[in-house]
Amino acid sequence: MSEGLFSSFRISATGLSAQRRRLDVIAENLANAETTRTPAGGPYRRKRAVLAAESTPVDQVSQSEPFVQLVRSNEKHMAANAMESVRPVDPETGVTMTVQDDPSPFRSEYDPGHPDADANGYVLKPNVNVVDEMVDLILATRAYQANAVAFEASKDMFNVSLQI
Amino acid sequence: MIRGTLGDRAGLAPLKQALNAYALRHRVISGNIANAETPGYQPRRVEFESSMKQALATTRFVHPTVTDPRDIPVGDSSPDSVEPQVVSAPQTGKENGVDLQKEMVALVENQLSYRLAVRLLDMKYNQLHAAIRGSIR
Repeated sequence: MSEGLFSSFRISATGLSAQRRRLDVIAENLANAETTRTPAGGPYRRKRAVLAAESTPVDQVSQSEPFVQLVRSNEKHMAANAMESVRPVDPETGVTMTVQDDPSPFRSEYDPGHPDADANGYVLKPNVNVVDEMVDLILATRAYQANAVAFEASKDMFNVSLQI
Repeated sequence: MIRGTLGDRAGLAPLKQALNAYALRHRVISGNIANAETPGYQPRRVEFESSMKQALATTRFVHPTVTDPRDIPVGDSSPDSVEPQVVSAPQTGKENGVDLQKEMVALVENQLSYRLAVRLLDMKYNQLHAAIRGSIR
């Protein structure tokens, strides 16, 4: 409840930003799908967008048990509602994205005419699978759209509450 | 005191709590959507309607309140003290439990509920306004 309705803007913004940067990573991978020379030497290594939730998962939020258990044995008894006084901390969470190198092995292609070919005529190519990247591209686009819709909804709700 | 009386008589309190609950649910759904592709994330839900319904149905004369942390909460919760609870959704066994379609439907549904609550609150205020002025508008 800390920032009220405004924090929903922030949450959707983290989603939008993470998905957009994921698109950047995919674009970089696609652009370098055949790159055999990098400043670090060797072929281009595929980059991977790793998404993570921002704050503590709800399971770690303490749901403290009452130390006495009261039982309602008669209709006229009052019900004990110990659980209802426990209020977990802000459980809504945004998303963060980090970029990591994909450690999977490079592709080896037979191309003796290539300047980077080894003695046997094999060239090491980046570990980028274009089909995988395209699928990822579509996923990232859809996720971006979903976050944009959530953002629109926040805007609408905020506007409406100004009309009271 | 007048404010409290007016608010109580007009039934504004449950509406205000509903607004808060819908706003919280909106944030939680936004978080679920933002984490739709996060590995290991399980979606969260907001429970409010059932506890509010129960509180409204079992309204009694006395509403004991907790004034000390060592007190044992007793008695049915009064409608005023119903707080929305955030819970994790039932485990689906999948790496990421978010169903984007479900979340989008929940988002729209919650948005409309919010709009409805705002509309009702607005109408209540207009009623009060009319009663104070003695004429409509």
